[in-house]
Amino acid sequence: MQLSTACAVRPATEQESINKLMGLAVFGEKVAAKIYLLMSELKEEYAPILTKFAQMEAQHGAWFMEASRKNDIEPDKEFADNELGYLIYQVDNHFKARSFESLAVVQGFIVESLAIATYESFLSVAHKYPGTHEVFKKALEEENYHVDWILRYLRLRFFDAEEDFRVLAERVNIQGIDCMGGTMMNIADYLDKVGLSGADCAGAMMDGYTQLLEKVGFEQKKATKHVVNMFMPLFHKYRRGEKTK
Amino acid sequence: MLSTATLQLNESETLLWTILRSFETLALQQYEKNISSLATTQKKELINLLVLQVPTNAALESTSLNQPVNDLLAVATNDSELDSLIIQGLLLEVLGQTIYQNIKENDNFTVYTHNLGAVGLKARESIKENTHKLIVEKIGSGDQIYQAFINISRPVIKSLDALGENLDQHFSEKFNISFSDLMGEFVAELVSTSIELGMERRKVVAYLTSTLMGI
Repeated sequence: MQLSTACAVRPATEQESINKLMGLAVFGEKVAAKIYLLMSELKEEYAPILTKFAQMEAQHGAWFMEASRKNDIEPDKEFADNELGYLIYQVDNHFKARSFESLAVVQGFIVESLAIATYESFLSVAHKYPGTHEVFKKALEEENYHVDWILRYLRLRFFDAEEDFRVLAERVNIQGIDCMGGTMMNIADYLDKVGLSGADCAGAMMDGYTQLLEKVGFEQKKATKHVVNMFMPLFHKYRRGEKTK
Repeated sequence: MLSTATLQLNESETLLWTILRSFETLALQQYEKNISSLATTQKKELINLLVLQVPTNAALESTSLNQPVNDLLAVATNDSELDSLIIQGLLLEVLGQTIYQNIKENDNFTVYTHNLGAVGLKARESIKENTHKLIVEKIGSGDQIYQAFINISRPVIKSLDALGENLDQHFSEKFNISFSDLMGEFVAELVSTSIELGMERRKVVAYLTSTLMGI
């Protein structure tokens, strides 16, 4: 994808924030690629499509890196590593346990929910960083496609076994939200500094995540209750100014 | 029997009902002052019963809950029909319903509290439909209701959230329910009610998120 070029002098706080956010986007996409590759190793029949998804995620990371370079943004790897370390630890454990379903829930619900909520919001300020709108829009479309595939897989896998899915989702989600929901709280202030609303992004993540649970079979009130329950401790930490991880 | 006998509430239940009596009494006062059609017989019966069971604030006054409860009561007190509809009719009635429903389904409460909770649910049911009808009639479309909701409800939700840790300290272990659990059920019910009133779900969730984040 061809990207237009621009250089802008921006306030130091905005520069630091966009460096961190773009770091999370670039390196988060690499983690997403890793998760799809691990999933492809666990279920041979889905290996072709999951490998393709992994390539698409890696491509997103490459686009974001290129767009960053053209906008004088230095993706903050140290920040991203710190935020993503706990997620990678969980992913490795799910892989060791050979739990394809756990990886599907982590990737399809939690990682993609965070990505979709932030990318959707980012489009409204992308004009400040020339060349980013087209790559984030394209990445967003592809993330939605990935989520559709995972939802379809989970619906078929847990057809007539909603209780089994509930148990799996609660187990995986509690750890996962602590990680990615915590990241959302940790980046809320950075989102504000680039002209987005951290609270709106967090709300979009919660709502998007709730809707995914509903699509797999959770009743609406139960899904909302489940998500709010998980986020409440994170909200309290955010209000106290504590890091969530 | 329930209407005249003094029930054997334990210490934690006495504290809980003292708090609920304060909020139900305020609700009735606000309805009588601002929206008389919501001051139903069932609501009055509930308050008469609670006044009989927990006539004073003694159980509350010496606890760490006293200040945050009074703060919440203060921000929930107002002089307009619109404020009363949103704060009492929508927000605190949904909270009350959540608490009474939780009491009904929780075996850690005594039979006395179960009986009082059932009266609370009946009182809630007596005004629910009319409240929704009045909100639509007085405010208008889902978007207009949403605007009124976010303009009026924020300080109340913030004060409610400030109660959280203190509530856990007094009730969590005893009744095996955390404030997070309660808020989960409350928000789920509130979102559902908001959708019924024509509000856009995503906007309501984003608003509640920002408020609970303290933004």
